[in-house]
Amino acid sequence: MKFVVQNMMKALRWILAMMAVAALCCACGDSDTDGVPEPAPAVYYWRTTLALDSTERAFLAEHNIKKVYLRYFDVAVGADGKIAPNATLRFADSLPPAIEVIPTVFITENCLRYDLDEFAPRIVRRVTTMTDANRVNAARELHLDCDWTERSLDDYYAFLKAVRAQLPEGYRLSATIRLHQLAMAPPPVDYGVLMVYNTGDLTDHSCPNPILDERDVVPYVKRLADYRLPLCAAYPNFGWNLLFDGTTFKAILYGEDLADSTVYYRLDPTRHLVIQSRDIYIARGAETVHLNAGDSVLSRLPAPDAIVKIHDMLAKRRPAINSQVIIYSLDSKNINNYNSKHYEKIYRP
Amino acid sequence: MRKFIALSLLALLTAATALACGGWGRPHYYMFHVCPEPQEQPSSISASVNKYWIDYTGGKADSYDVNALGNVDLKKWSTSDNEIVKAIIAKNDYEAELYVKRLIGYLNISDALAPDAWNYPTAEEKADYFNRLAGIRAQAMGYKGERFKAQYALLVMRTYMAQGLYTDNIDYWNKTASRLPASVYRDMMRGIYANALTNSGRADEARVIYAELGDYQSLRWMLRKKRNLAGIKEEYNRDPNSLMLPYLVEDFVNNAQETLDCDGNKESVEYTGHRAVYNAEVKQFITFAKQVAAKKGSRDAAMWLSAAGLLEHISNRNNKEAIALLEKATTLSGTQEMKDNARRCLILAKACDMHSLNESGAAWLAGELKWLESSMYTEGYTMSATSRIADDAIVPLLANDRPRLMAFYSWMASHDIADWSGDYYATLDSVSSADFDRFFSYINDNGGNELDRMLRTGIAKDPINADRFNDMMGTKLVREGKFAAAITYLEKVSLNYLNEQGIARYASRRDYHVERWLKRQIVDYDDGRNDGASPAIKVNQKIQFCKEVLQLEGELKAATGNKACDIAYRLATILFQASYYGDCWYLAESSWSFYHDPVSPGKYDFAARAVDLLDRAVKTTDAKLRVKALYARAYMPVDPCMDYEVDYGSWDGHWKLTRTDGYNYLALSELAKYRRTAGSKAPRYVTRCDILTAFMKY
Repeated sequence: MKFVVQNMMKALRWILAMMAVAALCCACGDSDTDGVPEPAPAVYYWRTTLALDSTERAFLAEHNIKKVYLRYFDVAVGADGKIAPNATLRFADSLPPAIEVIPTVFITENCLRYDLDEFAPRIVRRVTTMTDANRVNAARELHLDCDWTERSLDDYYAFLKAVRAQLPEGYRLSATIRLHQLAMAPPPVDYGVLMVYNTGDLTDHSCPNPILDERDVVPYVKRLADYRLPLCAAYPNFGWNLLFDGTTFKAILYGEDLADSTVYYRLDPTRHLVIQSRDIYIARGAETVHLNAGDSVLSRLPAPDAIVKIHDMLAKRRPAINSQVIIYSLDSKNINNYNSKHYEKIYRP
Repeated sequence: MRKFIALSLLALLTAATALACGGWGRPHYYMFHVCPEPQEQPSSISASVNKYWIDYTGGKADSYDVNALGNVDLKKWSTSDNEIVKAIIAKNDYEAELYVKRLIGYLNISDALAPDAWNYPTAEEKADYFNRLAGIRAQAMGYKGERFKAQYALLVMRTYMAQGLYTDNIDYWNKTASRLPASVYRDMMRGIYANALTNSGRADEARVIYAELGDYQSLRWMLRKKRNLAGIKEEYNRDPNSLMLPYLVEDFVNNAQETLDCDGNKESVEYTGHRAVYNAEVKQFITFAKQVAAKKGSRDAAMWLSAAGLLEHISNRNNKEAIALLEKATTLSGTQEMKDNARRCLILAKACDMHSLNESGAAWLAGELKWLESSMYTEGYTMSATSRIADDAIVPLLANDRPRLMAFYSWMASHDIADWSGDYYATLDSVSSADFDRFFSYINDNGGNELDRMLRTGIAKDPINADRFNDMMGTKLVREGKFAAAITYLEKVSLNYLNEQGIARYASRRDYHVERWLKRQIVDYDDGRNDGASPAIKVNQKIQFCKEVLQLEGELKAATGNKACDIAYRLATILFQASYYGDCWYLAESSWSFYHDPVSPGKYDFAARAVDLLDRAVKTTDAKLRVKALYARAYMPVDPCMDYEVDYGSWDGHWKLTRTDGYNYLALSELAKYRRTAGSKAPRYVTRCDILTAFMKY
């Protein structure tokens, strides 16, 4: 009997020990810092018309992209002072059926000054209607993008709660997180997408890479491990052509053909000199900038190795962050900035 | 999409477009015009559509009713307050009712399909809208009548566009709409056709249509990346005879002109919908334009060389070169618009190059002005160019020849030419009596050169007859303080003439003997009332005034003591009333404006003379007169020391002392001293003066 009791005590100690180990293991795997649910290779699509060319379709296939974060519309304060949808996506095409769409809405920060409780149901209804009306293979998720700051944090988080209250049962809510936002409390969403780009000051003539620079990222990395929100990461594949008058920043040039030798003289692969004065359009609307002969255009594109290095650095601090990688953006103009191997290193290291 | 269907690309423009009356700097009188004139301007398209319905309702409807058709609730058709609907019901016009109901159906759907509406249509709603659009289209296609044939065809194309059925629109235009007779509706359909082409990857064809339609908003959007020398070169290399080139060249030259007019201020230039063009690009353009013009067989050489010539003139100020280029341009190939444009530019450059006016120069200028006159009313750009020529060349040329300059102003006014550098009527009013007398002699002289004879035709449209001349001369002389001379002219003015003047009623209700500081003769409703009653003016006040001034001045010279003080006070009273501060300013002026200086060089300073006289009057021992003179002196607008300050939070105001020296401070101090001494014996106008009360608290 004593033997039996002793054996039972041994077994009990063993069970307790096992339970303690199990408890320790659970503590290591805190769900707040896990990766995002149902991770898959993904891209952002940020144009105003959904129409894919062959390069874009090939990219989706080649990299086995499963998710597209598709910008549906912006919400902005109009000229009449009212909050309204803007630049609504026109569905001229559809995505391959195997791809899941995450409806995405960009909200300008100045909207947060308004009572957004009123607009939360409108936004949710508009998103679901757009999904249904255009037969989009959409996830039960809404993704919001907003460059909120300390000043607007309370309003934004209240808005997110109002949006969540409007979402149908079982819908996820996710949001973009900029590096500087890691210093603030996480937003009340199911997961965040860390935007690993736009890290530097693009208006600074001496900033060699304002899109992504390791030195700009490092100060934020220490916050990653403790950031209590599931995160995935978005990496850039875009470049910028920045117009400067001397060292004074003038504009980002979108869609300019720097090979046009009547206007630009190539000094080296990253620098062009303006040799012909002219006005050019720099935005979706009709905003123009004047090119003066003598201005310079600096082409900024992150080196592929730099992106990979930062990708790995983040993984060391927070292994699950790369469980899902999103490339910004699906656009043939950007896709060809890097080769296929590079994308694979980021998607599937 | 609803209101300016022809401007189908307008929705793409988010920037403010040209505001004709806005902006800074000098007005936007553009010289260069080579584009073919559109048959219908976009603005006149909507005006034509509006006019149809306004006429239909016998003038009861206005453009608001046309634009508000989309708000008509079809379920409440019979009780709608829209004038068009009311007219249809009143006329029992079934054909119009059917058309308008279908149009309203379309307008409602097009609103619901607006891309950025909060209520994004569901798939079912969208399908329903598309079904309804198809239904409206079928009804429109089934229309067999003639009256609304074009409107129904337009409805067909609108419904196709709303559904994004661009290929169908292209087919419908080619097979049906293009064969309809010319009308504003067909122009609108052509705009929609261009929109369909744009959306079908045929932008080059669309541009041509926008150019032909004169839809410069859409064209500007489509050519937005080509509005510069690089773009012009690109288009030229694509097709040297491209229909876009006249638009691009005209745009470039006028942009360069606008940039100079705005002193290079980019923001100001863009405010008017232009783009800034600076010197380096202008120089390169001139070189390019000369090269193109020199090429053998260059079809529009006149346009290219006149662009180079005008830019040499306005940008480089190289007149000799400009004249040489423009003279040649007038002989080169091009459309009639291009040749006429070269001639207008040549007039500008040559007239700017003239430093004096000899017989042959005057004859040439008269001939060219007559040529400009001939097309001024049919072509708006001729008016614009003539304004430019007037401001830049002719006004400076005649600046030292006052009679001719005034005659030229008159010629401009007779043709409604905008007057930036000088206004005929303002000049007529402001010139001295001597200059006006010379002008009168000039216009009544039959001699002179060819230009003089031509300019007098302008004055003939607004003749200066004897009454007008004598009244103006007399008034000018009063203003100059030449009272005796004034009477000789004023006595010749008929009372009938005075009663026809706009000021007649106001003048008849004013008395210049009233002491302005004691009583204000307030402008009231009756001053503006014209009830056709008996002539307001029974005597020429100006003559009476002049005579009284002369008489009192004479008496003052001979008087001494209290009598002199009394005369001085009476004279001060009437002179101050005739000043710009008085209620009887019309005695010496033809008009009054808050913005005018009360006194200007060459004018008699009535108020200053009144101050001198009051200073003399105050020395009286007559207590009653002295206090009035003290009070009047404190009223004089010289070195004011009290300012009314308003708190914009509470809107409470109070008088504040702003200085402790100067005439007004001393006058108020003396008046305050009197009030303290006199106590309750002081007259009410003194004790109740709020400024004095406030002054005495300091």
